[in-house]
Amino acid sequence: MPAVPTSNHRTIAITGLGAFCPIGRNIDELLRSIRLGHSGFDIIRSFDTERLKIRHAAEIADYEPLDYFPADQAENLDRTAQFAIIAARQAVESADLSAESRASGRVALVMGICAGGQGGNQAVLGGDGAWGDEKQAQRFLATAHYFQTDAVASALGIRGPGITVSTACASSTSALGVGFALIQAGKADVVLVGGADAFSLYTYAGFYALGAMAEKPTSPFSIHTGVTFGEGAGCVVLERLDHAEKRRAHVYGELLGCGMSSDAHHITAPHPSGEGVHRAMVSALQQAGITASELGYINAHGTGTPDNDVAETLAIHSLYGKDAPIPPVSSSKSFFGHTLGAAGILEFIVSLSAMLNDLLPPTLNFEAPRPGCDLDYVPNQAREAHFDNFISTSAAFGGVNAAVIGGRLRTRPRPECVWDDVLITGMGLLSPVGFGPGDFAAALRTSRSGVELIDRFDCGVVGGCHAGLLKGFQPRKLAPTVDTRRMDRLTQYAVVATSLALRDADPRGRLEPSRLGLTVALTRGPVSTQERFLESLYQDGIERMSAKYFPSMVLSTLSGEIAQACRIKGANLTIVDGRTAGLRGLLVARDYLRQNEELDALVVVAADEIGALFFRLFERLGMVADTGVHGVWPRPYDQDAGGVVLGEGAVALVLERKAHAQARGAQAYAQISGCGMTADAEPECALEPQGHGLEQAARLALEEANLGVDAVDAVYGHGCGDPQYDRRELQALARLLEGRAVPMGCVVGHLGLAEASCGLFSVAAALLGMRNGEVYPIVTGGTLPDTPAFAGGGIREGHYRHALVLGSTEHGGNASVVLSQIEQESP
Amino acid sequence: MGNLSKIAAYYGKDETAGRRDGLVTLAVYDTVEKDYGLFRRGIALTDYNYYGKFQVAGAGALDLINKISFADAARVPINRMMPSYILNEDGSLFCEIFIANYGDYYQILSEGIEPEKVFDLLKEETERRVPDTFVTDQTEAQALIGLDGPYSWELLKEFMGPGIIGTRYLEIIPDNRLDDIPFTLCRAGKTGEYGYVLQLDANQVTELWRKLLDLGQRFDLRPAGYQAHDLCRMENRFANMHHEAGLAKHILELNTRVMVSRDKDDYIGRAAVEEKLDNGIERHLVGMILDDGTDNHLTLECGDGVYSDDDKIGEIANIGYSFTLNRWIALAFLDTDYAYVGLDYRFGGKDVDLGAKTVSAPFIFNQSLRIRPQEDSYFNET
Repeated sequence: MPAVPTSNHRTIAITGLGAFCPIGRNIDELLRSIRLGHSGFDIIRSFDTERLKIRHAAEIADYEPLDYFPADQAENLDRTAQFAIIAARQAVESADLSAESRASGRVALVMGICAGGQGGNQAVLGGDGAWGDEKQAQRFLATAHYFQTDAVASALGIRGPGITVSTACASSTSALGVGFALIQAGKADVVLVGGADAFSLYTYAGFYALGAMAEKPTSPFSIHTGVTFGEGAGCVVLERLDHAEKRRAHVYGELLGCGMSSDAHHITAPHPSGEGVHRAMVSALQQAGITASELGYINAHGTGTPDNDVAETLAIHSLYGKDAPIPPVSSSKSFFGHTLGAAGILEFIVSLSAMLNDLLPPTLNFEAPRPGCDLDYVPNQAREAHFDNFISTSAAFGGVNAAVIGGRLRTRPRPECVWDDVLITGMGLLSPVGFGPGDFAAALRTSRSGVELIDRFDCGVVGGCHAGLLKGFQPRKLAPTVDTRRMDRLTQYAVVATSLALRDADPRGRLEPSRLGLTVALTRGPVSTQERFLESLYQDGIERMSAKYFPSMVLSTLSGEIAQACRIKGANLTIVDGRTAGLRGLLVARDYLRQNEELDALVVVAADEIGALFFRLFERLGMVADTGVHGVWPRPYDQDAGGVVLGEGAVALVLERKAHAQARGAQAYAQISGCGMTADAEPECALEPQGHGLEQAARLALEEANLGVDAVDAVYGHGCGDPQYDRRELQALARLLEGRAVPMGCVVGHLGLAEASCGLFSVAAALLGMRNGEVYPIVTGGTLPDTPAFAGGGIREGHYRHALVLGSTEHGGNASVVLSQIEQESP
Repeated sequence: MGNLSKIAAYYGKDETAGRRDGLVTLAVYDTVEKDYGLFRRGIALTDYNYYGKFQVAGAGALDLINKISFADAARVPINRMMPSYILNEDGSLFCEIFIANYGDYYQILSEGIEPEKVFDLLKEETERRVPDTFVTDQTEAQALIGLDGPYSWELLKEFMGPGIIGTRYLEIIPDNRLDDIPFTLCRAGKTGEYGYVLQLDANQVTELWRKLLDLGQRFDLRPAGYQAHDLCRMENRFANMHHEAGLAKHILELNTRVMVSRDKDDYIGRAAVEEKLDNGIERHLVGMILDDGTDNHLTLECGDGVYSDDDKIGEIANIGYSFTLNRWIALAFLDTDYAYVGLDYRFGGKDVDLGAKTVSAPFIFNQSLRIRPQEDSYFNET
């Protein structure tokens, strides 16, 4: 594939739809409820609210898992995953996508998940903080956001790229943008884009503490304020039009464009003028190649909160100016509540379905307009109207905004866009072996390990436990312009790493904030805050718990803090995945930046923190090595290793479009010349033991880079002391390299396994190695196999033009990137 | 009479003029009460040209600023400002400053002393300690005017767009224009209401002033003098070098909005600050409200005593009539043992014996706190 694939965007058709929500268990029921004005609100049934003042929600009434799943899956799949699978099945069926095509690797899956799994809404910890019940521990682990996506991939056998987007309320709107970008980048022909969230005690408790909920079912833009929550899932099938036409798929409509932005204003409240939403809408229109006057309907975020509804109204006014007529606006949340991760996709589906039926969806419960809200909100009754295009907007915690435009399939050509190569021009590192590229490289050279005894909490093991911890971290010294006092530990790590990376790339602060994007990659998120939130909830109860911790429970809040602290106002995404999540974030960010000339640069940051909650969880499930038995140091690739040694830290990389970097004379570390993503999609999310998916991801990356395997000069993997995982990686490499003695590095031995950031630590090591002409020796407390050509015993010096970094999640989400030294252009 | 501000010259009204930091400018435009009303209920247009303005650039810029300023300038993000002070070696105040970070350079805005004295200090420190630094005196070349009041944002929105309502306190927005006049906007008021400072080429300040008055007609925008501004500052406890802060023996006496960075390297007055942090301060500045019914024709002055029974426990540092509270208010330096809120003392002066109570800061609840710019408007309220 050439470095700059096409100048025109491909037409993205919508060929499948699925919905499972309180007002309909399929598309037909959903549309009928919209037409008749039937909402899904009722008294909450899933937990007791008798003493509480907020009693309503939109739950999927009388949901029986056994109606949809066999007994073992009904038992083991989280409710959120169940909803997601049901909606995805509908979409796949309506698109007539065969199992074979889904397994081809050319069908991708992007899910928007906000709250994550529901975990049964039960107390999970013992009074001493110990995980007594292994089943309960497993259930809690399965609430992770990416577990829901992986469950869908596994259930439907989707082997192409799998991505979990968690930008709070904008999750599935952003997911549409990611899916759009995947097809444009040629990484998939078809993308299932979905969103899901089950109604959760934690979400309810958090918003109750914030005082944001309505005492009656929500009435957006109307005089009674407050949000009401719901649950559900939606899914659409996006497909390259020529691909759809070739297989004669039914085309419902077209995804015309997507726009994303960041307010960089406040972690929970929107910018009061709606300027961030406005920018997202403008960006979507530009990508779609249409004007605001061509929109016939606006599906607003419309949560019912005072701040959101007014800000959004102002954003719409800004879009149309003083004189242009403004189309009708309504909020689907008045039907099924705020469904968080499912909100964006369900609202898109409502808009599309309504358009196809010449209908304007109403805003229910509308009594009189609220001060500051002066548009036509289609009060209470659906209206007949014909329109060809609509926009759906979302605004989330952290000031993250997304807008998508859908419409009837059109014949006019798509607007041109300018693709460009992507360089890495800045690096910020916080690692257990040092802060900054210099300290990091020096530690790698001397085989220094950052693993030490955990003194932050009692891990409950005699003799103690070990992990790679950040020591001597002083955020004020490292990033003096950032006020980190009210930030939790993980947020401090991420903010400081980002600040350092931007300072490395752009010491004078010349990067224009609205043209600077952000992608955050996480696995667990802020674990110590999650622990305090749970403690507060179970000790104080819903009525008295502190509101302090809840915003940080929403993963996009961290990206909002980074955006605010570091002045980043462009597209803002949070990607969540298992091990090596940072690598996936890098790939998503790179493909997004290549094709979006509204951005000059984009920061990718991954961060992890060690906290008692998850450490004890992993220890209870036997995932963590007993360092008293197996030794303190991690044992990557050692088949006798007893588990992983965890680590923490943060890595931020500044990605920049090549022309922009060269124009400002930036010093780049390397170019990202190829990326590849696949998924094993095995039953029950198991790892495919031979690593064929990982091998394929590497081959895809090399293919995009126009390189043969023989051009690879160095490889970085993620052996971590999990024997099956490590063995799988070695087998993939053996087939890929075909016996070539390519030096191989792995930094997990130095740092411990920082689940999200290890992928970017490896990229950082590869970049520094290429710059310095080194591959760094592997640190291990165990034995390395004979092949591949591990860099053990000392630095491997040489000229490294192309480095391959590859890694998998524990469920077989595979990612690989090729980094290439920048060729000097001849004068 | 001294240098004449371009704004004062524009009006030619020397009977309302006063001298501030060596510059003759508007002390009162209409009456103090009417000027005050603009700050508290409408929009006031103010002349801040008495500020010293200095650009500090070069590799040593941050170092220089940190050597002279009380605050740690390393903590100022790009396109943000930070209020601080320059101290004397004994810990008293030399002047107030804002430190603004523009990325390529810093700017210092000074108040409370003639700008040339600040420039002399900057030059001296540059030559002595931080040679790799370039300081430019922009006091004459640049102008500062202010828009203050609960609806000042609404006037700005007319030509800057709705995004202005989200501007954070101490945020700088460069590259703005009103018609063909470029200016930099900073949200940096000192009255407790929405307040903005516009910085521009001094040659265009009277033109901008006139354009703002034209645009602001429907908002009843009028100029206001520094006397009413000082009163508002006092009500909201923004330390004022022209009054109580100029009488402080030590910065720590000010008792509000002062945070000390103890791990900052040396700066002017550091030793004196550290000494008081270790050993304690003898007196604190406290707000006081005089008893209701106090005669409008008060004869109390700064320096008059504050008494607890018959013991003199402090002295008045600033006094004024709050048109919001309809009461006399004062700031007094009180001995530390007596410097608590909620206590009844007496003011004594020549033929004066008045009761007063100590109160917390600020004195009033600002109108701006009741306003949601997303929804409210001057035209709805009035």
